[in-house]
Amino acid sequence: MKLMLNMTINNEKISVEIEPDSRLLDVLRDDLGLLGTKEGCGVGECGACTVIIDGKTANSCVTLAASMEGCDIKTIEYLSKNGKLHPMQKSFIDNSALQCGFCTPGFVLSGVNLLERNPNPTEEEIKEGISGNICRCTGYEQIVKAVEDVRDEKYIKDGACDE
Amino acid sequence: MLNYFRPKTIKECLECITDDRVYIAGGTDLLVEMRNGHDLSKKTLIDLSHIPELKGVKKIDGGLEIMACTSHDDLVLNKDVNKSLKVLSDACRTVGSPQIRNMGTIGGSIGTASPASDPMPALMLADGSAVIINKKGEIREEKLEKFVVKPGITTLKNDELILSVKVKSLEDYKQSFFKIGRRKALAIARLNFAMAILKNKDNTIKDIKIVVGAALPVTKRFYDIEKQLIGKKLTEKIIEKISKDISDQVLEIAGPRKSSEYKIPVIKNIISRMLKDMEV
Repeated sequence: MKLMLNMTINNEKISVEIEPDSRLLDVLRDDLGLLGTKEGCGVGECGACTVIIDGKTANSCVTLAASMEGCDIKTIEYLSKNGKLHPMQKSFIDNSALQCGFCTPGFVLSGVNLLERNPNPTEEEIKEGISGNICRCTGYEQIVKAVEDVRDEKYIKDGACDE
Repeated sequence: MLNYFRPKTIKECLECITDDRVYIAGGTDLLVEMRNGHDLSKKTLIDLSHIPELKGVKKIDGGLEIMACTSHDDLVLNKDVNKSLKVLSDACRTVGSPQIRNMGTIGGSIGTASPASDPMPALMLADGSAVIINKKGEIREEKLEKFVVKPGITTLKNDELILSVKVKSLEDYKQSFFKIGRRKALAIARLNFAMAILKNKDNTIKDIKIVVGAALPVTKRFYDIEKQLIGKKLTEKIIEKISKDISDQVLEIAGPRKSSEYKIPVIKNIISRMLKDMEV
């Protein structure tokens, strides 16, 4: 039993034929070629597969793709526009908030979503906001700093970067 | 072959129910089970995530009705929950991670009957009961203590669906939730507790509710100990006695385990600390 799934991904309406038990992660990566979303643990603990669904973060590895009918999904690919990085991406680079980079798309999306929901978070709230993402090489100090810099508007909003 | 239904109303949902039905709401448990080999290929998967009637919190006489597909995050933010049952939003705030709280639902938390559920102690504290509808449309209500039989097992029959959880308002009570996990985020509770206390003007106890969760196979309200405390003051001596009585009972119910040497004194100390904190 295949079924047709209609959803909005990164502001584009798409329809894709899926198996009813497919994970959102696999549909994104295998059917839609959006390889920025990573699979880490596969059980909803590491946050590497984080996406934003209807304005809230979720682990796409434990999200049933079929449940996404009519939903608005944003992946890491959404953030850079016309080759320009999103402030959060730029801030991660400037703060050396990544080493191997595998966890980075998830962290960046958690940071972006946190600021969408709470534009002025405290350090404690930032730590809480990224608590669903695990980094095993950099450590969290630089990541918290990266989110703080975006909060403090060290970068111009709307995708353009302040060089 | 896997059958998949995505009903839009409770009525449509009841029509989809078959003997081999498996529900999915947030998916945060089921997709892990599927990965671990839970075979759905010959089942009927009923997706509850598109039924607006199953979402939200309603005010009812003396309390709240929390619809089954309301997410943990919604309960953290909900004004009525924060006003009437702060302990529940505190408990939901400790579930998994932001991502899990955004997807996981209260109905799923009850239905999976995990002994480590964080909302469960808060719900039991508020005399929570599950509201259940069957395929014929008949509704029954069952106290959560009865509904959860043992880890992973509830009284929910194949032709039934959890509609909501009803809880009493504890607005006038001092409330407290405490959890110990192996780390702060993304940790399953090793121990969790919920308490509520209502005092008379002379500082004696008018009503008290004490629940111990994760240390036990099934979350438990300590009704016998609560009763003993009515009309008394929370003196050091009484706090010492009840925290010992509760930790002794936990050991008796759960049986000695490798972790008991750590857990039992910790349970005693946390109960004592929570009671003292509520006394202030």
